[in-house]
Amino acid sequence: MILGTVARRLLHAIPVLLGVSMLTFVLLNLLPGNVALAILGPGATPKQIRIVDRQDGLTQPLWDRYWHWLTQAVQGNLGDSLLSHASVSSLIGQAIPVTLEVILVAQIVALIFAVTFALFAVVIRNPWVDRFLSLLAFGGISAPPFLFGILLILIVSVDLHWLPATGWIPLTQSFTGNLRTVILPAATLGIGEFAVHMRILRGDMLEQMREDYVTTARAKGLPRSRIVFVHVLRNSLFVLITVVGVNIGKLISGAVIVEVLFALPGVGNLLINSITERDITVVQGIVVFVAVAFVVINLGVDMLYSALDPRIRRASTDG
Amino acid sequence: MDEVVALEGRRSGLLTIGRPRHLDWALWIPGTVLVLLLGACFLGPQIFGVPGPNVVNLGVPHVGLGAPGHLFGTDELGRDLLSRSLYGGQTSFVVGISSVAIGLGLGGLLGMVSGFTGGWLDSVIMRVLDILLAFPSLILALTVATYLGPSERNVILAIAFFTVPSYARVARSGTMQFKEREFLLAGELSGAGKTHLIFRHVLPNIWGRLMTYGLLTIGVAMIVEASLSFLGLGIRPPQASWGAMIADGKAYLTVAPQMALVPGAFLFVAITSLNMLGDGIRSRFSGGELW
Amino acid sequence: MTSTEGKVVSTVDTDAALVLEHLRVTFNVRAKEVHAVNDVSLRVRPGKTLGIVGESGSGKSVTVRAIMGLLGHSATISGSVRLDGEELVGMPEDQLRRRRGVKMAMVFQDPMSSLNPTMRVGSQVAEAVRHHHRVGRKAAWSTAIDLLRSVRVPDPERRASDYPHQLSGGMRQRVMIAMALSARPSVLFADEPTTALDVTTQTQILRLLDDLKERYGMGVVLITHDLGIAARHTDDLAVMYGGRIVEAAPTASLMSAIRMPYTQALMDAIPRIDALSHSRLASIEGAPPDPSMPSPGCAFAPRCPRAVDRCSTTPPLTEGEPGHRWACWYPLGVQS
Repeated sequence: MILGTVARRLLHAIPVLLGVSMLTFVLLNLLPGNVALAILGPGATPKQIRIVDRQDGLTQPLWDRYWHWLTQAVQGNLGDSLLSHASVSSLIGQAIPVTLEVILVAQIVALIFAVTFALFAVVIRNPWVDRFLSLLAFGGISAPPFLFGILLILIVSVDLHWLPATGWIPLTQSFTGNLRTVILPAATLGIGEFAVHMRILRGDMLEQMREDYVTTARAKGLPRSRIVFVHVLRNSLFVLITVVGVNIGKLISGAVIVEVLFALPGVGNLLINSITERDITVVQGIVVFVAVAFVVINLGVDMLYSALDPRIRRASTDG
Repeated sequence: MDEVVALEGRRSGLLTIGRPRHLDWALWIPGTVLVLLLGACFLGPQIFGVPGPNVVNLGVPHVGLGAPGHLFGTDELGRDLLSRSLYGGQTSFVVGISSVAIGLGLGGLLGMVSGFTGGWLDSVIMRVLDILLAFPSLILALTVATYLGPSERNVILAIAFFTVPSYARVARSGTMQFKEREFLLAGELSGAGKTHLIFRHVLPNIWGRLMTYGLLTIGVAMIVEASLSFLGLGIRPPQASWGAMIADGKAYLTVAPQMALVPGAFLFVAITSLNMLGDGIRSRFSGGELW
Repeated sequence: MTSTEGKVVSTVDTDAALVLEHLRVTFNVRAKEVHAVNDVSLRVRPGKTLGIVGESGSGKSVTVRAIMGLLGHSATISGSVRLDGEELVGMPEDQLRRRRGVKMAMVFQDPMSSLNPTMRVGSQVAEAVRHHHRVGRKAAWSTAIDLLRSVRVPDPERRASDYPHQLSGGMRQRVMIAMALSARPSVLFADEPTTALDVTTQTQILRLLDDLKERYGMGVVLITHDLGIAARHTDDLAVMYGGRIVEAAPTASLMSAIRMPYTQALMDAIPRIDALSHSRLASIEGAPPDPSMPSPGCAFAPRCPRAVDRCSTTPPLTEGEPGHRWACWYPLGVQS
């Protein structure tokens, strides 16, 4: 039954993904400015431009180019960079571990802190703790990631010289080196996530505390700690999963900024560099890749949610 | 049971602390801050007589905070940071407000038409909007901004573009709720035109909801503008914008941290006030929290 | 239903599982005091059911929640509550908590919202078991199944793995009862336990409670707005109105000689089987008093067909006949 739901959701995703690729392709291929000119530099002769145009198939009709690109793309071939001639898939492949690591570390640490703080607030029931956490959440939600990043660089790198301000050492090269380069970017990206999650979780737990089943648990004689940790937290985590899903777009957007700020060789940095260099095939490949990943992750979160929540599990097996 | 609920429900709550009481200052404080900030950005440059935002004075680069004539210091070209921050604020607010206005207008219209008409048109519109929602917001804005090229007008369009689906959804659900009410059906039977019904009956009913949502998204739009400018794909130098100023300052963090911190503080205060205001309005009207 | 029990009520406290004396509950609502329960004195005998009858807002639920200590910080409780001879008023929360679920337990009105929706019902019962007895997970689970069987849940091994939404309303309420029974409490509070159920299931649940109280010798407090249910399933009755007890007696003697006009109004309002269900108290004119706006005198006077000037002073709750207390200046069927 669940498999049926998965298949149905996947089928729904296909037209969306097609639309995503088409929109990206059309937008980027109608770009003002000549691609060949960008490749050759301002001193190019019209003849050189024509040659490059023909080589890269830029003279064919847009629809043919899209169809060609799409048939290649579904086979994993996103074309070659107009500038470096490296394949776009390999460029993304090299960059993706960096992006993934930063996003994962940020998300996990943010979740750990969010759950801890929210639990603390709910268990301690102190108005000052509540006010402090509310302010913290507001600050975390309101500041764009690069602001935190700059503050962190100023304090941790410039003043204290604890961690490098920019650069990246891969995990395969050195664990401690990797750790030193991932902390600041992940913290920058994670603070906003932490704020959103903490706020939602705290709010939902307080709501849950007013539910009848909590009264039942109290009537059973359970201590408050067990009520909060076992009953309330468990039910609030379902809300948290939804919020994590909703926030993935923000996380991906934030990763782009963080990678640029900390000069990390990730997908976001690759994207921005390719945009400034007008390397359309790379931009196109990345945008479609990110959008597809976004759709798939959202799908995954939905699945996870329905697999975990018994109320939904029932509903999906029924219909 | 019910009597307990009745009694407990009337209190500010066993567990939530003092919501009804803090509602008022939750609206007034950010509202006042925002008005002051808007006033400072749009009227301040004339009132205080600060130097122009692009007046280069290579004799005084990287002057720190509190210097005579340059309260918030100067950047690498000796340009006054207060002046640039105020003018940058104009850019940020103009971009934020106008992109929301455009997105709201377009999205609201699409949503109303979609929800009101229903049928295949509704399906088509919503599927197309689903495609826009499939992009992470900044990525879509980046792509559109790349397509249009960097300029203030294009940043506004790029941001408006990615906000259309969410406004459309708000407008659509409002319209559909409204449509279910009987008197509209009666109106339809009496032969009134659809355009007339949408603008004279539907719009006034969902107007408040759309405006509240619009206010809530101005902050988001301003963050996206700052992010685009920070990435060099938004507002072009020498025009000042908070995001672009922070990007400039990034290179001089060791020698002149004020270059990033001054516009950063402005941006932070603006977004926080907007969010608090939105949150206050939201909890006043719906009892729920914003995030 | 035995009328001979009448005399037991007036004997000493040691006979009672639970004794309330002059219980008062005051809520502090926006710096205003609201008297939800006023001077309530009652006793619950082991193996017997005390019915508390009244409309919404009469203070019956608040009374029970005050005893259980479930009211929260806004409530001030005074008077005396003795459970198995132990004073509960003023007891530190931590100690009171240890008595909840063990010496006193509670079953609520809506078994759907009262069960945790994301936890298997067996786990919820087992949780109560484990909390009261130091036993392992497996032992607790099998005890839970035994408990479910004892409340006549069919096929308890299978049902224990269900989630609340997979059960019928009656089954859910049985789960709630099983949970409440896990530590063999001296007193079981049932707060409108059948209001959310259909008529057939109502009877089954009430019969189950009748059986259990006899089998385990526990006192049951049955809260209901339906005097008909109370008449059939209780041994003693107390009628509450406006936070006060307005009439109390052994069920049989009360039903045979109702003194308080409000009780009579409740009697006239008993839903008939053929009438629309839940047309609760439709026949009593007017609204029950708002506890946040107390007016002097008998709280029922504004709705009472017999009210006269004297009713603007509060009638005391007096024992007009042996074992039968009422608070009315002009009781029914009594020559004054």
